[in-house]
Amino acid sequence: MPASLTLGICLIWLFTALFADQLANELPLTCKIDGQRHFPAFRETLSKVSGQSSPRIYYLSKKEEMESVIRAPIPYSPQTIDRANAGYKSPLGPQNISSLRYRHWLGTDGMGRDVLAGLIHGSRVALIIGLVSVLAAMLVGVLFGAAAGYFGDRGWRLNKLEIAGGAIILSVGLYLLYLQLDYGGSWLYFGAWLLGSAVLVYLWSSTVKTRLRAYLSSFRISRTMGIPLDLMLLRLIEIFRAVPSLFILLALLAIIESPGILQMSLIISLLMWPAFARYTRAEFLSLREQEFVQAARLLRRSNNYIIFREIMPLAIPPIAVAAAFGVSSAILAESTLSFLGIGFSAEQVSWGSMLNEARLYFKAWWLAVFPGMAIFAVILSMNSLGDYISRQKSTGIEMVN
Amino acid sequence: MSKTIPGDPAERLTGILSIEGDEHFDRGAMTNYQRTYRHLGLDKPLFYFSLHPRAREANLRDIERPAFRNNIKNLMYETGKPELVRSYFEAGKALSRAIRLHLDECDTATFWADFEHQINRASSKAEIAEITDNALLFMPDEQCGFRPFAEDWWKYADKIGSVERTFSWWLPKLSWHGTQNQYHNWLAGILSGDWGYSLRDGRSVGSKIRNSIGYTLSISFFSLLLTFAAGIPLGMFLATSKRKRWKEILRKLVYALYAVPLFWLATLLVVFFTTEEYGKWTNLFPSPSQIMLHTMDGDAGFFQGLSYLLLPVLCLASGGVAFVARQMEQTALRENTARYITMSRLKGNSESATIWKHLFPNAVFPLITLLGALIPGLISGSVVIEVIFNIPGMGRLMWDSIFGQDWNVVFAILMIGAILTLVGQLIADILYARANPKVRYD
Repeated sequence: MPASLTLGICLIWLFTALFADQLANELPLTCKIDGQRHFPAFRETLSKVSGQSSPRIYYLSKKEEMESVIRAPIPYSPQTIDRANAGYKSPLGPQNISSLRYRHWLGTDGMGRDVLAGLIHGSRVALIIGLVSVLAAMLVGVLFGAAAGYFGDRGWRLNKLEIAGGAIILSVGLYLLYLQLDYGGSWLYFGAWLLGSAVLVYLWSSTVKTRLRAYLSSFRISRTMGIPLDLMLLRLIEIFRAVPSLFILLALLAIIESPGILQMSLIISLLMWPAFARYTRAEFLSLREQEFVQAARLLRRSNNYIIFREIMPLAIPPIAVAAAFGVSSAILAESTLSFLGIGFSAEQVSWGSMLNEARLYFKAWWLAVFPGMAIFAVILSMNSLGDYISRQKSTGIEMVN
Repeated sequence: MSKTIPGDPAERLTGILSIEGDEHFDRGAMTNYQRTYRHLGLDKPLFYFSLHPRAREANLRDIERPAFRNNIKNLMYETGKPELVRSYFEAGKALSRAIRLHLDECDTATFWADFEHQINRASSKAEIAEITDNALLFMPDEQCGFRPFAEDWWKYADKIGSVERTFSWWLPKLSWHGTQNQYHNWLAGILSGDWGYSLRDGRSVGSKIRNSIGYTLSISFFSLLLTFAAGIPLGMFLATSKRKRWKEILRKLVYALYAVPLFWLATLLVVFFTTEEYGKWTNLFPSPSQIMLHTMDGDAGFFQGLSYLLLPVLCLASGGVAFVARQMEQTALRENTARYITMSRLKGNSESATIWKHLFPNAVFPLITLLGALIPGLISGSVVIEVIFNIPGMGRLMWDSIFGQDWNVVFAILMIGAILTLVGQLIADILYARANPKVRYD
């Protein structure tokens, strides 16, 4: 796919996602109520960003009093039900509208909702799903993969005392959490437990350790033991690979009742982090043997420095490739789920849920073609972006060598 | 996972909406519920052992009613004396049974009915104290048949009221349950082929899956065949052909096919090619409703059945074909630069002999490893395909079961999906080891 087309699709996607409320909205862009100028469509975006209640109901009640109205290019919101055009109005056929300005350019669905407005607002859902799930998966996968690749099975050595101390602290924390939940606590305690345990482990390893080690060195407890990080990661990845991903998604989403976009992205990222971990691990595995890493070790650089400053910059291109493919697979996963009718609640319009309606009524070809085209275009452009980066990467490596 | 899902399986199976919702619940429904609860083994502890605070008992699941369970748990935490609370509960149970039995013989029936109602709902020391205080004032002196039970209960209620929680209530205690636990029963059931019951119709999960797995396996098998049968020649063509224009077109097509969402492709094909809506010739394939009718009858002949599977298999294989073709092209191009190929050309072997005799065998066998990567995708894809084409296979069953909140079926299918994937990966590994003598498993 030509680069210009890829870039074009990405830009259009970004634009529609950012300005969805201004591109397709039944509230006007600007109007006068009682001589005062209002910007309803912009205020709606603002309320979404700041988490306030939507001004939609207020403005819809003032519909009659609006003067000097400037409407959005598509004067429909995705939820707007145009009763006059209910029952699958074709984009080519006649529509029951007052002027061309109100035409449904891509037709309507069974309830009379505008397909184009749905497409525009669906692009925002797709963007959030893609970005959030990839970022979350990247955070976990890259860190775990880097540690596993860099340290291997023996590289990360812990004092037996540290291991014992950490295990005790963690299990006590876990027990207290169980107690709290059983006794009638809330899930907030889980966060407190996690934070508290992490702090304790850190304190343990940094201060207590050094003092105790000096004290206990005569007892031979201070011998170190390698933590098999690599083994742990590989087994975990195998577990995730064993179960078909769609099955896990279906089962997880069935448990969570009507998840929001954020929960949905996090669930999808749960399935994507192994990919990031694998790529990063492979890259670190080959790079850690290179001379510049050995040189850094000889210079007594810390492990943190070598991982994040020396190796990570070289591992970014393959991670970026994985991220591009990750965005497309996250969008694919979300739209497949919405298509199957599992996942978002019915009010949340996404490309997949629009396609779901096409399944109910075969004659409405526009419901099948346009949302699918949007998904297809975005996935195609993300895939070719990934290919593009990986091609760049190979030439880049050659230049370094 | 199966323990975190919303809802109570015994409620679902007995058809009771909510065992605690109705104040004046039907006693027949209640016994029915209790029987089902025990039959499903829900009264047993979850695992072989449990670690719990000293204050509470290891297993409170043998108390069937959730509200009672919660009351008892609260009382145990409040007093830190699980044995005492358990005796109190047993005494209360006996008392309430006796009251119900002898209520008609009593003149003060209203008081006792109310009394029974209250003791069943007491969930804290304060509430118990309130009941006893009130009873001291208002309890009639009449000697009914349940008087000894009331005194017995009173004894324990008094003890609970006076007991103080000791400091060690939160210390952990390990209890061993042996093999009488839910996990053991589940595992034994899985291994002996007893997968539990469907929560929707009470049929066994095993029979439901047996009826549906054939469809999924056959469409997966045929599309796997098609994937390799179409992908390998396509990849070879892309790698070795001299026809530049065709190659470009096909390469773009493969690239697009790789990105096209399965459910969109299937929907488009169904929308445009199974009806006469868009012209006489577009009615090429049987429509999903036809497929459903005939698979339900089960009287479709072999070839008829194949014709129904044609479109689903085509759709399911499409992504795999593109994937295999791209991999094939890459391996063939890589092998093409190997020295034995140059050698073959230098020897004067014809181009086709070089390609098909020397390059092809070496380029094609690494594709065996793709089997392991393709199978999870096929099984996932079968959900989408079976939903769109109304094929009553395993994916469709899972989809239906999720909407029907039939968790036993959902988790059983999840297990089978994992087993199928693992078996596929194992087969791929074994085949690869046989094809490549360099690979040896220790």
